[in-house]
Amino acid sequence: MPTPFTSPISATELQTNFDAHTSALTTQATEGQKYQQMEVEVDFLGSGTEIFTRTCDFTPQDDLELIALGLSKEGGVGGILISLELKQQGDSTEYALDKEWKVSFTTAGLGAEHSRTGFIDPTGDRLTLKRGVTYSLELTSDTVAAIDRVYGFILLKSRRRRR
Amino acid sequence: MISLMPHTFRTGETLDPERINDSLLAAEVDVSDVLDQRFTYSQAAYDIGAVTQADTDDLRSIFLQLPPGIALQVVGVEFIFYESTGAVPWTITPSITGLLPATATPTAIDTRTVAMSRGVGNLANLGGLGVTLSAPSASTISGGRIIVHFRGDRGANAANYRSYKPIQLNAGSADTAAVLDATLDNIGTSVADSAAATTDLRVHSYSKRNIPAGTYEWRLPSTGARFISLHTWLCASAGSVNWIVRNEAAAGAVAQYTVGNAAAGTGSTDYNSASSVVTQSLNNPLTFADDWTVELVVTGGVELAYAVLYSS
Repeated sequence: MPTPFTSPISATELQTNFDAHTSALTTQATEGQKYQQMEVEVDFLGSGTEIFTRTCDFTPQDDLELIALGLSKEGGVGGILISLELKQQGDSTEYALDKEWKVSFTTAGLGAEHSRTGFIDPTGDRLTLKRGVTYSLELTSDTVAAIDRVYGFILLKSRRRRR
Repeated sequence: MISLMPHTFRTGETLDPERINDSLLAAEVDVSDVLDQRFTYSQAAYDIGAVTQADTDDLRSIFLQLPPGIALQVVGVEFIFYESTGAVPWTITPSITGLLPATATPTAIDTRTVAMSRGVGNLANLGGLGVTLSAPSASTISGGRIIVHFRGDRGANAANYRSYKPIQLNAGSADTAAVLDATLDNIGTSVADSAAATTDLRVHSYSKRNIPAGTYEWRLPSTGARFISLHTWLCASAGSVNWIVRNEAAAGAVAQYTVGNAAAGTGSTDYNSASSVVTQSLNNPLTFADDWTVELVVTGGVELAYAVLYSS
């Protein structure tokens, strides 16, 4: 906080007081960057599971930065490849930058297992979900045999906006 | 934000009021830039798989209550569904003024069908939102989601939230030190008001239908999140549930919120909540060991349970 000025006003006083506010404002400007997530979940996921039970479509109302995709499962057997993929809904891919945004792993056995892929490497691929564009979170399995429960999440970063 | 203020003031230089004025005006822009950044968006997804036209209203609806002292807007409700007959139209009807009902008719069995309720609806403090699905004839929704889009306004959530107008000095300004003190104090007040308005409210939802007895877990990656409330609903003819939010394993996986619901009977919903500020001390979203968890413990089997976790 500023220190009271005295006469004559010194350059240091001016600098200190303005700097205090600049610092506080800069901190404020970055505090609005926070995270949110959405889930998609299906009981008994197999390769034949209907698309409508293993996808979650959504249309962001604001631009959102993709931070990570997470995938977990409970039950099932080993050797099944499961995935969670973020896609642009429909046949187009331009708002997914024509790239694959995915986390997947091959199950090891019966217990709970988790995997996560981050998209925060400054030199790696990054994606901003655009407002008004519909995206799909889709769970898939490469095997007919069902896994008891599979759930995935998308972790997003949003910022404060003027509108 | 790239700060505009201040000029660099150096000892020995002649202090020109214009330079101070420039800094004060730059401060006004900086303060406005920060205060104008007041809105944050989030969305909550609700599972509607296996909903039928004959279900009770409670099973065809989702509800939302606000934590005390919070204002939130709903800026749209997406309704994406796949229907079993391929011909029956379904309608979503939000309960608050400003959001219009929306109807869509499938063109074939289990074909992706979309309706969007548009508009802006204000959720008053402690007021609620209900979104109800309905169809005119026998029909089952094979799968789909309702996505509710929210906009939090930290300006509306703060007791004081105002912009700052600088005083401008000139050669005739008397008692410059006092004038500067007052002006810098005004900037400081605006900055403090902005700092107090931390309620960038975001909504996280969890929902599950036709749930057998058991324990179900979701992961909450560590992101330094500040949670303020957990609200839970149960629509069931029998049975009960417990929702538990636990912190990371290294901190003992201690329950931060525990909220229970008991079945209120067919056609009725039980609502419960817990409110307190709990903050994730870590920000390592890719490290499993640092995750928090959301746990749903179901006793007896229930038709529909859902929860909303608020963070700010």
